[in-house]
Amino acid sequence: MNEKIDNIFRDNLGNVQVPPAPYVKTGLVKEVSSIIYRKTLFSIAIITTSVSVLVITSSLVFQNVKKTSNELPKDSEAYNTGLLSLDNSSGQATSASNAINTIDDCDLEIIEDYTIQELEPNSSELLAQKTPADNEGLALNSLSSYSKKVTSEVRNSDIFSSKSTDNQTRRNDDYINNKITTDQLIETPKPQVHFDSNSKNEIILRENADTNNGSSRKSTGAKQPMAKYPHSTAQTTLNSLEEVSGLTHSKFSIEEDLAHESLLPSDFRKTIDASNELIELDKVYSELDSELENTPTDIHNSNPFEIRPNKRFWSIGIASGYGDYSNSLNSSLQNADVQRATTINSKSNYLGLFTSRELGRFKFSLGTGIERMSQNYSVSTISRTEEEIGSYVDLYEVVIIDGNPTEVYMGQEYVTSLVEKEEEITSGLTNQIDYLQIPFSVGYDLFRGSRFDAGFSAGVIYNHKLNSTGHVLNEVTGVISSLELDKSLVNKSLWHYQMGITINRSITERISVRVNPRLRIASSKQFDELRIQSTNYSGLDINFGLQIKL
Amino acid sequence: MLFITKMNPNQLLHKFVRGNNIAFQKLYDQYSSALMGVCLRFSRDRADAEDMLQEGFIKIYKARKTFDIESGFSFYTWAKRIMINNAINYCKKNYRYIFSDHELEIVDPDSENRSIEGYKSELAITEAKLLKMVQELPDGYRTIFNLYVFENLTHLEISEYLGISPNTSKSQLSRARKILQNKIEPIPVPNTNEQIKVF
Repeated sequence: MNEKIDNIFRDNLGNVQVPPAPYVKTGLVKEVSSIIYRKTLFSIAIITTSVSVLVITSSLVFQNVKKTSNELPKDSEAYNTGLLSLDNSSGQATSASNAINTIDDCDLEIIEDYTIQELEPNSSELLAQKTPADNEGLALNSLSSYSKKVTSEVRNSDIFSSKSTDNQTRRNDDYINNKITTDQLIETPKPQVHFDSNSKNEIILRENADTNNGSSRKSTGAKQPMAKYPHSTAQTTLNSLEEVSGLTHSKFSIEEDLAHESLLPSDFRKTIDASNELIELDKVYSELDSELENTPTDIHNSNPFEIRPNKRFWSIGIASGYGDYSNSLNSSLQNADVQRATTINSKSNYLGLFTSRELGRFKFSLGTGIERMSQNYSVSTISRTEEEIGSYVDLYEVVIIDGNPTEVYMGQEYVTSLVEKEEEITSGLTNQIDYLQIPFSVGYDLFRGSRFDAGFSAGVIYNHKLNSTGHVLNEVTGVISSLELDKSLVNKSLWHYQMGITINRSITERISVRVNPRLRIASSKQFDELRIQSTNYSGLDINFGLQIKL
Repeated sequence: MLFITKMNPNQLLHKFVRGNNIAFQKLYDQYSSALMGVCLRFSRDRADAEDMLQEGFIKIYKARKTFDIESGFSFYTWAKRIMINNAINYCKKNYRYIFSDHELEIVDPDSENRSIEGYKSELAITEAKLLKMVQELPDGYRTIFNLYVFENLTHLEISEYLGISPNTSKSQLSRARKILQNKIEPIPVPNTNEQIKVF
């Protein structure tokens, strides 16, 4: 009995099939799309977090590496603190780290003897400027803005009434703005360019007086800066300072108390054509660069003429790009009815913003922008139509009524004769797909000059479809489908790998242009693979960027 | 118009496992009716069955990477297992399961003696009516009846599956059968007195 009941239900309901209501599928699709969307967001969040952690970690690592390389000997208090020490003893205005004061009478008290200042650069711009007529020399100045924080005890003296044994030189850092200071790389002893008005357009790179006895410009009674830039070793009077009050101070710091360090082997002289200082100065910079780089030192000696002493900074910029890609349709799906070009040609234009973080030679760049991709290819389809050529009467039934043989019922109908015609229609398919593009790349500079950087970069690009117009061939149905009507033909997400070379050219201290030719390979399908089967597209593009350092 | 090709079913499954939304929709179109039948048997009514179906398909999508295409198991078998698990969880969450651990009742001798051989149930009872009978069973009875009759689980397996004793499973199944049997009233069919009329 039990078996029978079980069998009744098993037989009747075991394989029962009941179509669910349509809204079940609608809700399900919505839910699954939501899952995919959340998953995508989660992936982006993970990637962003990973990149952030990577950047922060790299930053800390580089910072530690730099601290280690720049660590100074322990016999100086200044070194211990990693801060600048200014020594203006003996009335010698030896500091090229010129405090600018806004006080009109310039009656400032300068810090003497191991004054320690904590310095933080805000901005800097190097320029050359001729001194007034009574001094025919050339001053190298920087329009610098620094934050100064005095952290040690000082002994005051009036810098402007100080006397120097060298009456032929004068101090250019003559007024103070309370936010002057020195180069940010003050932890590293570095030479400076000395301006000597008496030598007429000479830039002199000097060594520390204690270690370079052969220096022709050694000042007496005071420790000399290793080099000065601009000049600041001479006696200075208030009057003369006022005469050159238009000049700003040098961006480079003086490093006193480096007597035991020998940074430069000899004086460095370069005559500057006063009529064309800026051009000449570039040459000077190059020569000084090579001079300094080739100078063996115990301490890592940074290039004193580096326009951007801080190697870690953020940049923002605007970028535009142009690309030419191609991908192939799956030829195995071609049949006699549909023939089309096997290659889809795509051209893209990109406009967006980016931010980058530079850590030494590494550059991390993240951007966002709009990419418009236009594609075109041709499709030939064979259209079959039926054409009417006439009609005839078709007798399909004859019924003879029983008992009345004379009465016959004839069933007949008119039939139209049709002829099938084939016609080949060639259509040029074009479409346009707009994406929100998020490129991320990591670059490494193989070459770094004062104005020119070159390296390579690699990364990923994420494209999120915003809009699609035009037509594509739906290979399953064999019809040309409108992308406006069936938006699911184009996948929403599209990932790429990118690799290329990056070339940066500085226009000014803060502004540079970037050119980035690269190879771009899609790692996912652009179209719904169930309906349009094609290879991942790849091609070359080139990006141009204008970058502003923060 | 012009039809080029059909997707290979195996290719469809590969797309599904990789998370392709379109492939998932195609599989839904293909199997939703059969799985809806499973849900209807476990639920009280159609609305609940549709909820179960939707939840079940979401779980199928989330669990897609556990589906081994090369294992030889069909997608339907794998999906049905997920759907049944989901249906039981749905019942536990939304219905009040009462598994009374009564002793097995003595089977009614009358019912035992009543012959069902002549019942032309397949002619007189529609699937819809049989389904309604199952749906009207108490939730606990219905679940055990489904697992025993349709999924061919033993009482031991059911007890482990639901966390009840095997005796409880037997008891519940017996009660379910009794209820269903009472709902199928025998009626005389023309030409033979053994036939029943069912509603």
